[in-house]
Amino acid sequence: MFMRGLKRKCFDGEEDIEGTLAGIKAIPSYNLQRQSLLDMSLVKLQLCHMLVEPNLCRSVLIANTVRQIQEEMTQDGTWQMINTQSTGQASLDRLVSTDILCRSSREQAEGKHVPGYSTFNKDFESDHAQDSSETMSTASSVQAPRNLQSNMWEMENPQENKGNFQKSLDQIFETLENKSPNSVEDLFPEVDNSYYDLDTMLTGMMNNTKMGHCDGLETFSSPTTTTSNSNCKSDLNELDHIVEILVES
Amino acid sequence: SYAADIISTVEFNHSGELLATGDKGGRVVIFQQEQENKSQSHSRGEYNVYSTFQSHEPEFDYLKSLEIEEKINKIRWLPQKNAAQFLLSTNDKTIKLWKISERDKRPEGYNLKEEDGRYRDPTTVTTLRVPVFRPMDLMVEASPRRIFANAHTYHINSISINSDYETYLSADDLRINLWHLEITDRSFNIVDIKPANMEELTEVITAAEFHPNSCNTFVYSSSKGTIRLCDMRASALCDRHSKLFEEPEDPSNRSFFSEIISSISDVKFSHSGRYMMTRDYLSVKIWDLNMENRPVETYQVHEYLRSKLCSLYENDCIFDKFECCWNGSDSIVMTGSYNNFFRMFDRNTKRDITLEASRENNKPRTVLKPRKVCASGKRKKDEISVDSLDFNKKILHTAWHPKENIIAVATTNNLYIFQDKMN
Repeated sequence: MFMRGLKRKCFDGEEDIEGTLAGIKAIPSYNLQRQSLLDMSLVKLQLCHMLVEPNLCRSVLIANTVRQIQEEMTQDGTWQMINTQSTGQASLDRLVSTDILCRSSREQAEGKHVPGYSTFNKDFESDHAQDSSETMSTASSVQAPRNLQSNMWEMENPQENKGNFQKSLDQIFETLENKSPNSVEDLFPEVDNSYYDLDTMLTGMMNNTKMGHCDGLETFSSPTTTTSNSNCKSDLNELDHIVEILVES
Repeated sequence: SYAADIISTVEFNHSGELLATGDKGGRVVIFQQEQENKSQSHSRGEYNVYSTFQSHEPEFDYLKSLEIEEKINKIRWLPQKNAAQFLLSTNDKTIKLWKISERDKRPEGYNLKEEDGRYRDPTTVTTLRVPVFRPMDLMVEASPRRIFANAHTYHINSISINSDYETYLSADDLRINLWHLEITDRSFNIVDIKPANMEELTEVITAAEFHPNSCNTFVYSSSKGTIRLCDMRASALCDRHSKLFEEPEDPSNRSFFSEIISSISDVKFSHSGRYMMTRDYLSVKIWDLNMENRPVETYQVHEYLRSKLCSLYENDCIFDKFECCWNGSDSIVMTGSYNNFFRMFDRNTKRDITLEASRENNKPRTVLKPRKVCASGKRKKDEISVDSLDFNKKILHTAWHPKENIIAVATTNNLYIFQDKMN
């Protein structure tokens, strides 16, 4: 069953594919385009942290767009088609993990950022100059290894995957709320490491990363304050690489 | 040109005699209309530079390690009470009240000072005289009279002076504060939409304005395309609106960009106070304050961009904040577009026109030629195709003289003043 309006939702320059038969072919194209819109949005959100002070309205609008895409991805055929392994009713909570697992390696290369974000400490309301790197590292050390592990191998604890995506957006608002000189670097290493973790585990494509997910997770979990200097440069290189992939996709 | 010359706000004063512009470099330039020339009774006076001053300087927020831009976001004039003029100008964080006054006389004939200011040797003073005022070349001085600071965590997008002329509001992304013009060390918070958890933030305030006649009423618009009208008499914190204006979404036009293009970039009451106008990315809407569920009029500014939204999202143009304005009689509304085009809509005749603000295409004193954008298909002569529009040439700020058909249109770093052809 295909969604109405699938063929020409929002993407410029696409040929107007007429008829429902052609609609069958339109689905992967639509998904790819939707994915690239998602990629573009996430890059925009990240890039806005490099500016002096991000425009909050713009960030909110982009984040809402990202959420919309996620919601649609939980509802449409992308998720239903590939979820052959689940025993019972497909659970929204497990979308993110199954999505990544079941994609072809090419699609993973294009869109592997989805489960990459870790959760974070929600306690950002404090007005004093809380060192955001502290909260980031605390959160990541506790949450991230568990999340990634359960994502990839066990698919236990689906509750932790729930809102993973949401939390990545929230993470951005946290940094907007509680900016410090470290915040930019703090945001990126988590993204970068998780990218590599996924690749290492799933596709084995990356040959210049840590060995296996354990090492990656350990790196991920170490407090960024102590390792930030050494990780910083490599993280930035990794970011270039990621951005490159996202752009090329 | 310097990037600092980028005009960021344009505003006529209440009589229309003065026109203020603010720019990205924190400067304010005020133009004054020449007195009408008696010999040329058919021509209105031109606008010439009257005063230039540095309103805001860049600052550094040490707590957040962020620079605070000096760009002037808004200027609002106070009504004139005496010989001096007053205006409010604001950047992202600080609002300032400026007094602009003229000096055309100076005292001469001091006993103890020379004319150049050097002190005379008292022993050489043999007679006394009374200093007198003598005419001098007109000098216009701007001095900051009040500085309203430290009340906004987020970026100020609007200021609006109350019809009581004693108070004004300032709005940032999440909060609106009420100030008294005489008091700088405190303000009242009247709207706060910041969620307890910033994770839950999905909507921000985009503009706010006081009602022109009703001093307890104001509106604010949001990034989700809603406008809330609040009555300050209802409660101290106006988190509950008296009215919510929102048009239901058209399901056939739904896309991932629907919310972004519904975000309201400007809201302006009509002079009468009976209507308000909102600008979203593709259209201008007129609302009757008595009808909340839909606008009474909708005008498409550049509908041909609807099929280009993805590209406009990619290059960030979709986030451009266009302003809009009413003419003095509320019969025509005007707003800007791309390619240095601006649009006017006549509410009575339902006719609209597209004009261009550029030096190449318009000689002074010639009538502006209407433009047309060709959305698709065969392009007629003199039409411009959508793909050849220059999206770097955007007209975000326009203003209409309160009494006459004189308009000010700001391109990126030029100001154009047009007036209608008089018979």
